[in-house]
Amino acid sequence: MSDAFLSIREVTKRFPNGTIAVDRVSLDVREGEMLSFLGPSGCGKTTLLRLIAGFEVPTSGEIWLAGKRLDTVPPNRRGTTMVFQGYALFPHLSVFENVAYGLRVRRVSREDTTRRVERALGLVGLVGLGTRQPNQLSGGQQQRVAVARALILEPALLLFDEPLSNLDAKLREQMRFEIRALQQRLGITAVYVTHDQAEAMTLSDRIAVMRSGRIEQLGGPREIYEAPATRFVADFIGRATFLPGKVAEAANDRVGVELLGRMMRMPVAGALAVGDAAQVMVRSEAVEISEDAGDGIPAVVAQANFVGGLAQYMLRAGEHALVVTVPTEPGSIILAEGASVRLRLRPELLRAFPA
Amino acid sequence: MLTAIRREPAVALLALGATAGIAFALVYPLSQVLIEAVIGETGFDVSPVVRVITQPVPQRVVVGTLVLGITTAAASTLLGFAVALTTARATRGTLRSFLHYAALLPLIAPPFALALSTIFLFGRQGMITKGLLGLEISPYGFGGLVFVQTITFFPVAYIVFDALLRQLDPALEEAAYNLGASRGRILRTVTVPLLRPAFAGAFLIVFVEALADLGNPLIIGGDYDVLATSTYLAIVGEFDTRKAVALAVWLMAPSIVAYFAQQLWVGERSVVTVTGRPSTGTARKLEAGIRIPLIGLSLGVAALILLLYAMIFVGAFTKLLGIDNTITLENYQYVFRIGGKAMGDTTLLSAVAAPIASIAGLLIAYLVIRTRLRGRSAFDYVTMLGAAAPGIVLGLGVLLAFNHPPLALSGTAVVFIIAFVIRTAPVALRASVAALMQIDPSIEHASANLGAGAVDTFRRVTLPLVTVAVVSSTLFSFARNMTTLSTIALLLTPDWRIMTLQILNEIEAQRLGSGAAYSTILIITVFFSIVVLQRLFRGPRTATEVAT
Repeated sequence: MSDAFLSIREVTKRFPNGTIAVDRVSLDVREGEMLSFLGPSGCGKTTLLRLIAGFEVPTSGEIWLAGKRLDTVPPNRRGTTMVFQGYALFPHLSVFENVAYGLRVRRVSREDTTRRVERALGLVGLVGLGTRQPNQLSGGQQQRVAVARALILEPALLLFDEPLSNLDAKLREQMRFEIRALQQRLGITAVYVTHDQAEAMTLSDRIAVMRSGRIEQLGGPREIYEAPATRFVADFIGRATFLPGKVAEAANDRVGVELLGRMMRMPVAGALAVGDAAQVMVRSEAVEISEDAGDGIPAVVAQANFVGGLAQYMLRAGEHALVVTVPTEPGSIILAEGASVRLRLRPELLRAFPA
Repeated sequence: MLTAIRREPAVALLALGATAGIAFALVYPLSQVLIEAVIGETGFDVSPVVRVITQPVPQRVVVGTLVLGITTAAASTLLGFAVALTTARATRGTLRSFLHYAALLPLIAPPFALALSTIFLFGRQGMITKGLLGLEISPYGFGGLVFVQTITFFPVAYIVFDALLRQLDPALEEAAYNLGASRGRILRTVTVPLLRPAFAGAFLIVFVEALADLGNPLIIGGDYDVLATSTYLAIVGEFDTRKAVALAVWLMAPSIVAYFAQQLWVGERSVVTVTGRPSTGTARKLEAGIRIPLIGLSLGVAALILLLYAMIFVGAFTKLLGIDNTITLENYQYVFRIGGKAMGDTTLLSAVAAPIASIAGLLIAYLVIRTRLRGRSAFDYVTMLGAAAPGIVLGLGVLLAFNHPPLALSGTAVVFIIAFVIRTAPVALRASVAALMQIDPSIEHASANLGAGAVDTFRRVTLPLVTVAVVSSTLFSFARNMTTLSTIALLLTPDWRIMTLQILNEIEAQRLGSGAAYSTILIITVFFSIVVLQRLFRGPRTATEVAT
């Protein structure tokens, strides 16, 4: 690919104990792009990042950056600075010295160092805190120091290892926006590791969903949400209930599935032939609930919870259960537990996977 | 290894240096003891070693040594546990601090100071036995030895229990309390079982210390001979090297086995019971029925320790305590007249050796913890031999190794420094290992990620974070060098005078008053150098204080 800035080619990492953490992964990152590795713990996303940073050496395969072989370069000469999980600030150095660290190692002149540190602290909104010690800062401020320390070296590639996992939920959301804005403003190429799908969605141009050392799907946030390539992706990204169905007809990219006693034509992912059992992804936005008797699928509200602006229902349709979340207007009525309702499914929003 | 050299030449260089240093200063001397033991004039010959346990006299010494070691270890473990339980679960505030520091006091005494004051108190002319009670009891022999060794070594057991009791999650005891158990029952069914590794560990450490003890058996042992004294006398009295090495082999074997058993067993087990997270809440006090006897016992022990210390000071200011109690400055005048050189020499040698030991310990710890060199743990185990082998055996090895060309160094300062360094480097190694393990590796990764090589990272990040550990192990090494007897007892030389040896000479010549004066000066020197230096180095923060 001509527009590959970072190129990971058939990289495998096998640890001495035999675990294969990364399994023949190939991936290209474009210049100026922010790409996330997203997956559950143990999927190999952190190992892949550490391979790029040089803390691990690939068992086989190559990594290239800007047309140069990267995986043979020692970690301290790669120019791929990293924001660590838990920040890894130097506890014995002030904020200023933490940020200046990379410049000191490179023997940058005193005036230059001061100027660049001030600018970096300005970028992350920490002007005037240079003399503080890391333990005198809040979690969010420590996070910003870590970002400034990595940014100041104007890295070819910026790496993030779950940088927000130690922050509380509100701060996490705010930092997401800040990191994204900074990355876009400076036009930096970045790779971001997270297990938090909301974080990956807000931050990334593209997301690589990983599982068991492999990339399960690579695509934009909307693409992986709306058109997940596998059942794993559909389950991991967003919320979905999976209902069993049976394929009654198959044509092009649509299949007809018998679901809850109805026949529905829906998009399909993977190979499904007539007569196969299928798992059908049902997201909340594919479900309409009405209280009027009509031709919908009959269901009972087994449980109803109010979760701030949203109502979450556990619905029973025959022997199947599905969880549906719907927005609530202030003052509107929330269905009572035990209420009988009718469900209408929007077939174009469903998706069939091989069972 | 080849890729390692290409990537980090500094690490490869360090590994080579460490190998050479350990081989020269530790492995070579210790191997000399073993080689002497099995090579006779006619070639390979282990009969002298075998004779030690087949002939009645040396056999009695071997058995006596083990009996003394086991008795002292058992007594010290129980006493250490009782006092630790008192400070952790029965007292608070000032009383707790008083008991805590009183229990630690024997650690800074020279190895025979307490034996000396025991003679003042309980000797044939003892202030308590003769003066107060009118008894004619001899403290010399097994009973007196167990008493003195227990008072000397129970603080080691105390530290083990104290550390583990503090780390025990109070939630475990609270859970038992919540389920209806009485506090005595909690102690029996929760606390003590969780401390089982501490019992084993404390017993083994004290056992090793008791085996290695030379000063107390020499002064108060009477005709109860142990391997350490027999080895010493074989060289000093009989000039019989072959006999000395044969005895040394029998002394070394149980020490090394017990030492590594303790390292492996306690090292493995304590991880299971101790959680890393800071515990919330404080442990509850025991009920009065247990608490009051514990406090009584601990106060008694503390009073005894203070009394023993006081006797050294008092003894130094009297002509001959118990016989002629006239207050006098003669002892000090005498000591300063003839002992000035010993004070200067001992302080100089100790001060030179201490930083060498702690830097060696730090560098070896770095190799073991932070590099991926194959076989790196061998550095750890081999270095620990310096702590596992009894001091007299190390001293004998150094004596044999540097006695003849090409390394004819005996009589020079170098042999003393080698002996001091190999004896204390293991402690520095453990302290540095602990400090390095507390530093999240990602902090060093961050440094590499920002462009620093291994040397830069070590200098700019690792070193500042382990300063506290290095400084405190330097202080410890210094104190240990100043007060050690067994390690240097055999390294006699006219050029260098060592205070502990001088004190031993004074006591053996029945000049107890000047022995006490010498001991006082030694204790004060050690105490103040620790206090003063600790003040000076209070600055740097440790990694644990910083929440990342």
